[in-house]
Amino acid sequence: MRARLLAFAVAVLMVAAAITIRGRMDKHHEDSTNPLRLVCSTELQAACEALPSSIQITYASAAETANSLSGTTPEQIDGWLTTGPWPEIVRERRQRNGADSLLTQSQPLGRSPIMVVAFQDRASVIKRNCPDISLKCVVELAGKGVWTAIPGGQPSWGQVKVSLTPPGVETSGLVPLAAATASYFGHADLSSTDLDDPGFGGWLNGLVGASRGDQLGQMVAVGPSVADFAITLEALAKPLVGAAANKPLLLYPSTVASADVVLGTFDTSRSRRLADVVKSSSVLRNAGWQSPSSAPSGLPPAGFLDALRAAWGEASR
Amino acid sequence: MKRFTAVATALLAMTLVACVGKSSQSTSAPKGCATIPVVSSPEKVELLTKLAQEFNGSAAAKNGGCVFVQVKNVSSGTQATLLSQGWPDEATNGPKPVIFSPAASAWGGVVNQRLADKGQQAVVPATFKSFMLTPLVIAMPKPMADALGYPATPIGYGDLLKLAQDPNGWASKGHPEWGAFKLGKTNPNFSTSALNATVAQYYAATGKQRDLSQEDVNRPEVAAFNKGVESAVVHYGDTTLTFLNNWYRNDTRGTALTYVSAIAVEEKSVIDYNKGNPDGILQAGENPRPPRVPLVAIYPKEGTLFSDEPLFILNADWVSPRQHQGAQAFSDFVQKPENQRQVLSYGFRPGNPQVAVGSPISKAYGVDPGQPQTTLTVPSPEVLVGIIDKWGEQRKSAKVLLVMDVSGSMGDDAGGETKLDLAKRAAVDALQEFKADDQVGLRIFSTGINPRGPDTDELDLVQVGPIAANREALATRIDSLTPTSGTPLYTVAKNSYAFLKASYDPARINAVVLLTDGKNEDPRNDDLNGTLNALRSGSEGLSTTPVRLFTIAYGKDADLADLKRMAEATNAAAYDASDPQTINKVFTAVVSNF
Repeated sequence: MRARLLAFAVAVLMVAAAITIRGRMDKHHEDSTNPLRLVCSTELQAACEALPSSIQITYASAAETANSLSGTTPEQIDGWLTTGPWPEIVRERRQRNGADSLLTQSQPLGRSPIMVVAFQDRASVIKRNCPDISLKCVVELAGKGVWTAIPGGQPSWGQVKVSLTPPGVETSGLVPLAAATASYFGHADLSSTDLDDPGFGGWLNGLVGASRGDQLGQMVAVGPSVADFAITLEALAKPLVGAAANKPLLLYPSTVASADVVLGTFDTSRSRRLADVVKSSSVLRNAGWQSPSSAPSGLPPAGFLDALRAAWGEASR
Repeated sequence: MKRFTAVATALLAMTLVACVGKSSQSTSAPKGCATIPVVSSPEKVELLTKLAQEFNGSAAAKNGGCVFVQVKNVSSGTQATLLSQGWPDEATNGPKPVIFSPAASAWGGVVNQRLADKGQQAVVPATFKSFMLTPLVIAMPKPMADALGYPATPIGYGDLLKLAQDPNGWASKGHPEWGAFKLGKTNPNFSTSALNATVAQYYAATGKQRDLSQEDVNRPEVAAFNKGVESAVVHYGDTTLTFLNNWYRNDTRGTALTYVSAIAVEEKSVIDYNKGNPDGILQAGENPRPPRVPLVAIYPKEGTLFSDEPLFILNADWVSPRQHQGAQAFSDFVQKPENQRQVLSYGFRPGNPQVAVGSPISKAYGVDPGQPQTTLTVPSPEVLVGIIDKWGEQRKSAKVLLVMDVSGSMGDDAGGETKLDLAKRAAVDALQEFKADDQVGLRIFSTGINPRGPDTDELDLVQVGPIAANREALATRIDSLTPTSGTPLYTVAKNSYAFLKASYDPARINAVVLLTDGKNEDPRNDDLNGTLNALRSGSEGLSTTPVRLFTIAYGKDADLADLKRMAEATNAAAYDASDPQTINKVFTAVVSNF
């Protein structure tokens, strides 16, 4: 019996040793020839660049990665750092297609409110017409087409030009559009049938017509000739505006809506190790993202956002 | 082992000495350093070279392995053309670049599109940082801008088109003494200001400010708008400096208001001009004198585009990881605020928003830091390429007399071939650049060349006519040229000029292109001043039949100074091909005027 116990103990030790050695071998292998692979959404590049160099990082638009992960042969990666609800969108798409859920969305790792960036003269007109900076109202201004149609607007400003990242491509465009849409309807509990609202199409078309794409960097560098104002995330705007010699103003809507950074992970040990590294780092805070919050983000659900993307695409044709 | 360590240390030390010891002024990479070849458009080459020298001597260039940045001056259009061909012939064109820095990022899209059209992968990245910025403006003499009511009345391309098509010209604005409205514009195959101006014209024609499409480009009314604007062009060219230098020289003579009425240039050129430095290059001892009639930058009311001076780090297979890393370090270096402040002194706006726009971007120099009010979106690469192609059809047509020297010295050796052989090949190649509607003829000259009379020194081999019909004959006749006798330069210049003036076509750019490898060798006519007076009297003031004489000084014995004076007398330009091997490039540059 004693000999049998001893043999069992030795066997357990050997297995433990084998696991440890294998784990170390794996880790060594991971570090040198097979590093952990993270796909980082483009708008999070500043944060991802500060992650340990042992992680192999690829930058891609959220939509591009979502399309890859929604397909039948998703890209072989260990994690996806993006802004919510993209991993949720992927889960829903895969479920609709009868595929497994593939990835899990982490708790929020960072948060950024949605806001408006405008140079002083344009900001004054926005505040005059939309005192609480309601995004519904701000988008209505964009829909006026020309500044002469807006009280306080100057003829020399010409057409109303809005910097908004294409919502079909990046979260920094989709989330502000979603927040503005929630503002339009007065609540965030929306479903795709709400998009049939008779007034919504015209309101959306107004924004499509004024949108110049992602021009925030150029706008700060060159001035309002590029875009009169931007609807964007604080985390993207603050570093640019903070360093600028000619600072535009940051206008915060009274009804707060925020984007959350999340990590999409897979059910593998590599993915869990990657999650540990990412979650323990302070790269998001250093890049201007606020601490995560348990308060609701103020955004509509993932399924609605996917439908909203499609509606934007339709209106842009 | 100790010996190995000592040897390794010595080698490392030698490498470090090689990297650090060489002066930052050095033009070749120290041993052990990776070279980072940069091709830069001309307007920033001086500043970029200075910053490269500072970078090469800095710790940033040693971080992660020694790198050495080398800057070469290449025009934006040529950079784009060479890159889309895989950068051939490094012996002539210089080493394959790691950093591609045209004047505007739009050229990156053009390169990628041309590669995609050939089924090749893109080499120009989508992301980049602007080194500096300058908007495209319409430069106009202040009295003319005042007559149009600027700045109280916004002005755009539509207004210029109306003025250009008004048979009364400036008389409709109360100034008959200024004649017709005349526009100076360069060739968008070479020049960024021309590319931006052409794109802006398309936007103005469509009323759009973004998303210009191929359908827009193909619309007949858009073509009509563009042809209307192009009809006011005096001639094209590869660089705006030709216009600015001519304008400044006319200003000295009091004829600035009749040379051209407006030129599409970058804002920085207006500042340079108003400082008395029209070409932006101050030679040692040069004392700039502000012009009598200053220019005003008009920011078109339909919107404009910026030259955003990108530093593209190429994703090409010839770029090593070390070069890529070194290029990134240089790109970061030029973005430092202390380096960005230097761009202001060159008349540019800083690319880094941390540095404020300041003097000389001010009304004192004819520009407005509060403008433009609208920045147009750069069209997609497919549309850009479509616009360049369309311009070739819509540009003002030309009537050109090619006048080639076939004197005895053209038979001299020029590296295995005669000078005449090289010139013939270049001329035949250049014929491809003309559009079907252009009219081109060929005249040769040498003392007593015409068998019909001993006193006639020129011989018309191909009469001026549509190139579509003449191309074959021109190529054949050029190919059969052989060297003969002396160089009666003044007589031939004067006669060829008078010949074209007599058959002037108001719907075309009328020009003589004169190539010679020698000095005037004609005892019957050695009167340079008389020649210049004859050329100038037909070109100055309100001449209704302006003919431009473009001259090419070919080979080291050509009299570039005389040729320059003759060209300038007709408000054209002289080209230097003193190295016969450059004749192909020079011919291409000359033909870019049409």
